[in-house]
Amino acid sequence: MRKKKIIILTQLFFVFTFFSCDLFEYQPYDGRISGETGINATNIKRIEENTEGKDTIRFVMMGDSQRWYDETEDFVKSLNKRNDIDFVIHGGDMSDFGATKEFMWMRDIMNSLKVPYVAILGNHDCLGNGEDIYEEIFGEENFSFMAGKTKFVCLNTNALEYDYSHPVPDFTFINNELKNKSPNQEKTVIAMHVRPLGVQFNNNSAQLFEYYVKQFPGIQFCLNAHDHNIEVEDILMME
Amino acid sequence: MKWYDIKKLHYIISFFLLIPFNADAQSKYERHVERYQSAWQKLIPKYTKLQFAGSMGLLSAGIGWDYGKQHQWETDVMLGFVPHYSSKSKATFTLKQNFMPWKVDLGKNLSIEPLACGLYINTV
Repeated sequence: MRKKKIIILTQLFFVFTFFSCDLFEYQPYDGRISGETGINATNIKRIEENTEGKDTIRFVMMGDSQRWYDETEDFVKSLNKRNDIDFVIHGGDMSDFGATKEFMWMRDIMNSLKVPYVAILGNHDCLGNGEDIYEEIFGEENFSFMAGKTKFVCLNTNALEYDYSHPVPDFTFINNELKNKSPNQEKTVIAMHVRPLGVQFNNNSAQLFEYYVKQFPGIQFCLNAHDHNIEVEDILMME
Repeated sequence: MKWYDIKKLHYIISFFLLIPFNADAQSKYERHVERYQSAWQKLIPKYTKLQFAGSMGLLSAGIGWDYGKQHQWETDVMLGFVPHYSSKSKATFTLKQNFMPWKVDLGKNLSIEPLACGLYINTV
């Protein structure tokens, strides 16, 4: 009986010491976040400070780095060699499965960029409890910032991942952005993960979306990721 | 006597001939009961298991059956939980199949199985 007690106690001892160890994964969707959080807010401050008063800004739009960690590291290395870029927008899909560690791995790679970056919520990032992880590590699903004289409005357009209890695209947010024009704002760029008419987008609201987009002062263009290609296309419907 | 009367008579005679009259120690009925009782008894789990981490929850507890000549095959059914970290706390369910090819005895009450491999399905 005593031998049994000793064995059980040693097993429990090992188990409880392993609790603090990082090598053990509790569950792929456990939400155990370590490291930096609130990335978008921190980096937006940097972007707005760095580009204040500038009348020319240069930025990189990229996205869908899901599971391509080596390629993202190469991208970071090659971008760090340049001096002409002000910031980077990651258009979404940092994770492939919405698993907690995927977000952290991608955040750590992107954090080695010299310039600040912001990340938009992608459709893959909504899988499992990915939205909660994104909210903790990066921030709100809809956000905006100023760069020079241009306002960048970044939206969650992954409507297929939600039901009607959650507004996607959030027209209340878009309306607020329209009403609260920043003092220096002369131009606008709208960035999102999925473009209108894509399968994920709430295409019932596509024309309304276009109407709102056109209201923004000095609207230049919209940016999107998700399609895994580089393309410039005119998809206006109401002309 | 109509033709269906004769058929009826045939049925009755064959029925009585088919009733077994044996003087065995255990009747067919008793053997039948023993068979289904032992089948149900095989479903009783052989052991309980407590697991830490393993991508199936912080702690999981379950029951299992082991089989095979050297008890090298195991099937586990486990329920676990993930506490509330950056999202809601969750319960998990795991179905696990294990195979331990070698077993080394170290005395009367202790043995080591150096390799345990297997597959499992886990759902949150």
